[in-house]
Amino acid sequence: MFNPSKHQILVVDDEPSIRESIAMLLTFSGYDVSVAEDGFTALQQLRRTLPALILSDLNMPQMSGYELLSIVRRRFPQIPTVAMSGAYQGDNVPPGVIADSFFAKGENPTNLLATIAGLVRTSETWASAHQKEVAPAWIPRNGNDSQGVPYLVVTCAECLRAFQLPVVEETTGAVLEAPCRFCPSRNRYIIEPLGTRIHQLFA
Amino acid sequence: MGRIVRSPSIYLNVMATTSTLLCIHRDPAELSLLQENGYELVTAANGHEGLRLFMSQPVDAIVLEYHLGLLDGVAIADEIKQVRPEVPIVMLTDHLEIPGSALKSVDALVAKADGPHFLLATVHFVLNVKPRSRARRKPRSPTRARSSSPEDPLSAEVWTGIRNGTVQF
Repeated sequence: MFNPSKHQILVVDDEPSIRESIAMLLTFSGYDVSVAEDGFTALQQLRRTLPALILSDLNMPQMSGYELLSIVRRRFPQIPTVAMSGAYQGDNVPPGVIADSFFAKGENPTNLLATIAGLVRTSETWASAHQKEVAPAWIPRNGNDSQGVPYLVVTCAECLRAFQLPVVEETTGAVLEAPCRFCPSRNRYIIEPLGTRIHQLFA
Repeated sequence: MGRIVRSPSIYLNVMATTSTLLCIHRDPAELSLLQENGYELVTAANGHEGLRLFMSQPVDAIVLEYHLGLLDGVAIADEIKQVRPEVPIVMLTDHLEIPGSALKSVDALVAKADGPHFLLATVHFVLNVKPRSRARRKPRSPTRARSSSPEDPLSAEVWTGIRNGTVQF
């Protein structure tokens, strides 16, 4: 078994039984483990200390894993990330999810441990790769404007000014690009897919 | 600012579980940590007895030794999954050199060298970390205040300890 040498893992899941079960497995595998119940709590923890890896559920209230993982990639590109969910199957990272690997809940925990060990071992390589490209922002829906058109608000990564964009089509997690209304930069973003909030009710 | 990392001891002897495990193992004494941590154990020393018990009573998960003699662990796992595929099986082995094809009916593999605590954690994992179709649906409260519940793996006193600072994490 890979010797984790007390690398710290942050586990983010809103379901206490799942969060604690994963934390327990990682603890007895030799990792230091901290936990958070949603994206906002995870970001609070990142103000105190940066873990060697973040393992996050996707469907959570307050701030989802989709949004958290996007923020982590842009603010902390040196941290490798693993997304997990019971709503997807297979090993591939689902569309619209910005993570280095994916774990489907219900799969063999040995696979999860092997994935984490591999990412921690090669974290410097991942950090270098992440820093070469600005990750797209994952943007929650804002509702409809006065014309009844769905819209979202994009904050330019360069000048930090915010501007409104209409949602003209469903993009199911595709990475889009929009020019900033104020400066010459272009912003890559992913729109929260329809139904994500509905999943939260049943996750 | 206090440590946010948890000590391993926080997980021992505090879990609130009512799960029943069928342990098909030549030496059930090796599984005593499971019982000490709240699991009810139904034990069988060989594969035939294990299958008989499996058919005669409900269990939540199975801990199965790989080497069992005439009817080995892989054959038993295959039989069990044909009857109740939703019951998770944790296979316990002396070594991890087992052909992958032999493990298609197994949800997790644990080497004895990894120790009883790792087995305990793995059993807890397969019982709780499930895809949506296998997970029990339960109503979600509008506020997500941390509270102890029958499905919460940590007991009320541990949560109280976390809140008042006597339990460090």
